[in-house]
Amino acid sequence: MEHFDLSLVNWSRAQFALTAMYHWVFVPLTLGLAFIIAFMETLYVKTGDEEWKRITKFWMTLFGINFAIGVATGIILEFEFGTNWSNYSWFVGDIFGAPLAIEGIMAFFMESTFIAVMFFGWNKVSKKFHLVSTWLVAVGANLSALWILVANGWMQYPAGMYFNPDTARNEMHNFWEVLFSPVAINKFLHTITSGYVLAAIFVIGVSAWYMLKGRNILLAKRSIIVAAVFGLVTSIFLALTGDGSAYQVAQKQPMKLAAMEGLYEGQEGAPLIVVGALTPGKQFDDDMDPYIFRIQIPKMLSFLGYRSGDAFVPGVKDLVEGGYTYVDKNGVEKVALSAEQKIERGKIAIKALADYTAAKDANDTVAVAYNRALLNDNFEYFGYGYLNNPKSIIPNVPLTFYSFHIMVALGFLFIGFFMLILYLVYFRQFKINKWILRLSILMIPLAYIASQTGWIVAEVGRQPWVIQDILPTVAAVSRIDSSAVQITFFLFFTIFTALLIAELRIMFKQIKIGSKEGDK
Amino acid sequence: MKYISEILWLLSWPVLMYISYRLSVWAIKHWEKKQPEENA
Repeated sequence: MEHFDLSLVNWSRAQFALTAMYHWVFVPLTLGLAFIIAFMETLYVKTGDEEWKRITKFWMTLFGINFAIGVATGIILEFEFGTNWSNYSWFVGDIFGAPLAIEGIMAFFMESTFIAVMFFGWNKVSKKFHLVSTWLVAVGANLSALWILVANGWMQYPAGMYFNPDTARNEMHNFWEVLFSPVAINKFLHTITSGYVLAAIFVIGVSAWYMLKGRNILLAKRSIIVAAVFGLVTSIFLALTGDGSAYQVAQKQPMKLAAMEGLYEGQEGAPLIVVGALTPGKQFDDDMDPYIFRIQIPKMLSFLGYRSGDAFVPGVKDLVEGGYTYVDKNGVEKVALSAEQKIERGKIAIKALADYTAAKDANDTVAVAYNRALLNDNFEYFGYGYLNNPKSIIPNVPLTFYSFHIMVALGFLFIGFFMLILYLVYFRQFKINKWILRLSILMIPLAYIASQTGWIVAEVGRQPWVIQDILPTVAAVSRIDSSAVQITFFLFFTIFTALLIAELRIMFKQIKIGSKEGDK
Repeated sequence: MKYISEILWLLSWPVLMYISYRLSVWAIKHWEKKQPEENA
């Protein structure tokens, strides 16, 4: 068994998490604000009202600041696949590289080309051409997200591929299966709508600040209406796609679902924890109660995960020890293997691959055929062969559990917030209490917290896998000195923090300046 | 068709954008009718 440098693995994970989390500070605002701006500019073109043009240009300036820094962090993220995760890139680059390349060639180029027209084309191109450019930026930004999320969805649920033992690489055999994987499509819709909700809250929060200051009142009121409607519609859709995500996780990543709910012992008619706290130090094989306290909805987890209130939801212990029955993707009822059995079969697969290569070199056709068959029979558990301890298939349960519950609670809070704002606009004639305006500003950091915790659930909850069941994170890293990763971690940390501070300072300055023409 | 449910689910994205846009326009018009002096 190969020895893995855990320090290297942990620093590589930390660096990728750092880059991804900083990147995700900028991306959701870009995704949502692009459409809000497109709506506003459409209103300008349709009505000819110059105030809409001023409003559009104001939000466009904030969009531009955010977009530029988002691109800088995104490029570093893609390079890290080569520098820090070269084993991963080598093993599945033929599949993972395709959506990334399409993202760069089609979506990002489209977005980047038309963003120039969007910013510099006022009075140089016709109104309609400018409007089309703005819409294409919005669509392009979101299509970029589609391809990245298709790649991420494939890592959570590898589909449309086969393993080629001659090259020891995974290769794509069906592009459509990769693109239209239910995990990928659901992930795309859930992620972009979270960006829409964040952008709507951002627009309302900034507008609330203007109302508190008694400045740019018309800009603030119109922006609040557009953003609150957009936010309410998309936050309800976000809840729907969240339900879709829970269903997909239950089918494809049951350990993640168990961690999200702190479910150690599987049960039929499993409840959904609404609010709860986990017992610190709880292990899957002890008798401690997993929860210090909990408020739960009976049978809801079974219903969300399996569309039946009485369905059995396996817990962490069941997934480690096996023995429960489940229905596989072909509709066949099976008894689940224990993690130990899966590890054994994974090791058989890895050994069969080595023996296959050796037999091929020796022109031993009988051994080639035998080892190929052995590899095929056990490939489903290939990744388990890199693990040594059954416990290592358990992700960080408290981090996944709390992140999930914070995300869900904030998601429902946002629906209520948008409803409250629209009620005050239409039934109280915009007489919004100062405390509610201050609350609106406070909602901005909460939206970012919800967005980040969502990704923590997705990425921490799927550990130890970088590709579900096929490649564990420990086997995916580049074999480089961990000190090199440490140094670049702190270097990136410093640069990203400086970029974030710069962005915030420029944003605040621009918000203080407000709309250039007129201060109605 | 094999991927029909995924394709339909993906198409909900432009539909969502269209609904959001139409509702935003309606909301703005409705508000402007109620507050004509503010928008003069």
